[in-house]
Amino acid sequence: MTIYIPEIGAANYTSVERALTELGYSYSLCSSPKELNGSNCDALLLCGVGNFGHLSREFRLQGWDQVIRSHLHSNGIVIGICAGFQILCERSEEANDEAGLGIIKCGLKRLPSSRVPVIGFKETILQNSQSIQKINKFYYTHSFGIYGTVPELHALFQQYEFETYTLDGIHVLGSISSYNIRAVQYHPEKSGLDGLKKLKTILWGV
Amino acid sequence: MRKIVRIEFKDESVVKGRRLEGVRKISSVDQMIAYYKSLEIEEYIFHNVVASLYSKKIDLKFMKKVTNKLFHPVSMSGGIKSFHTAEQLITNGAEKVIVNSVLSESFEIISDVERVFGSQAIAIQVEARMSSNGEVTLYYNSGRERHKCVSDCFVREVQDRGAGEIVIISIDKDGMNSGPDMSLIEWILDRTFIPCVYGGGIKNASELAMIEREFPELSGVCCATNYMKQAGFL
Repeated sequence: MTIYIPEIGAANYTSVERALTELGYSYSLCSSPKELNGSNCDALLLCGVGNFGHLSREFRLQGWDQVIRSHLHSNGIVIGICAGFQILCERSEEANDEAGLGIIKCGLKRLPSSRVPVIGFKETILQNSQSIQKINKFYYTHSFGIYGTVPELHALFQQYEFETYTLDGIHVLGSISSYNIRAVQYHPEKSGLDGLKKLKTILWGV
Repeated sequence: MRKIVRIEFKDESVVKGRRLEGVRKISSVDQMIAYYKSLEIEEYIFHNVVASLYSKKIDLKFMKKVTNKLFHPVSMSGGIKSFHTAEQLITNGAEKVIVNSVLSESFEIISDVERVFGSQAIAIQVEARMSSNGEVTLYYNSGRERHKCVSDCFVREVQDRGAGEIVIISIDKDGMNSGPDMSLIEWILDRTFIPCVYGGGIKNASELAMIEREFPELSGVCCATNYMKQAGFL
């Protein structure tokens, strides 16, 4: 079973690669969608850093947006980490003239904090799952995100399980998860042992 | 409040100076990492104390060796003089690069890194000394050289260029284990709208709690000497 990671210009893939290796997963960095032709792709893992507009543009220019949609249409799994999560959304205030891939039906807004980026380990809680809730701490570093009250987030993400952390009393989306789309705002690959355990959960079925 | 450990190193040894001077060898980096992992430290800064001073080349192999042992954010500092070096460090596992000395010549590296990797990938180390009348002077090369740019302008410029964080080190408190410089923390918070981390002199949990109480806007603190003393390294 192989995880394919679109290689979109400059990004820190090393941390994600190390985490996948530690968990025993095989993966392949792909510099072009053509490298997927004829391959059995179990999951696409989108990761990256940098500007929302720049990443969205590059994904489109290199043809990855079509690959992602086609993969989802074939009941494939798409995983997004941090900026990889963000570009799955419709839009971001970070780059108002650039659209995201629109797979997650929501936009990103500047975080309501006096200082951004918001950096550090945050207690993250699963909000709408039947399973026993354990509070984990994961590492975040972001200036834009999805936030609101828990009922507002419930209404937006009815078909997903989702996690949040609190920022000055407001709930900021930490992750959403369904069978096909597993997207996290935090960095499980930089969140110590709990992060590795979480990444293993995100990769279930892969 | 974030608690970050700042590991100063020379070659592959952990060192610790006082007031940013001296390189007393403490332990191997491997030994220190093993100790900090046992403390469940969340974030790491690795600072090369001689890279800038002696224009030494950045050792990428060493960085990969360090980041391979840690599934935590690891920031690299010391001797980063070009976008190319910053790019190599970030694409090979560094959470962010922290720069200072290069800014004595140009602030371009900040905007170059921000444009490609985002503001969270570049932080500024501010080596600061506050005089008795409250005036702050900023230095580089481990406190040996003074930045020509007036301190208020320097702090404004790095933020305008897109830096994502400032790590302010009190030169006079560094390594002294004599308590933090609370006036310096107030000074930097008054002049910034980005996250700030303070380092220098913090000796115990009680002082950490005091800083957190007095300055809830401070993003974090970085420590070294107190951890080393607790472990018996110093």
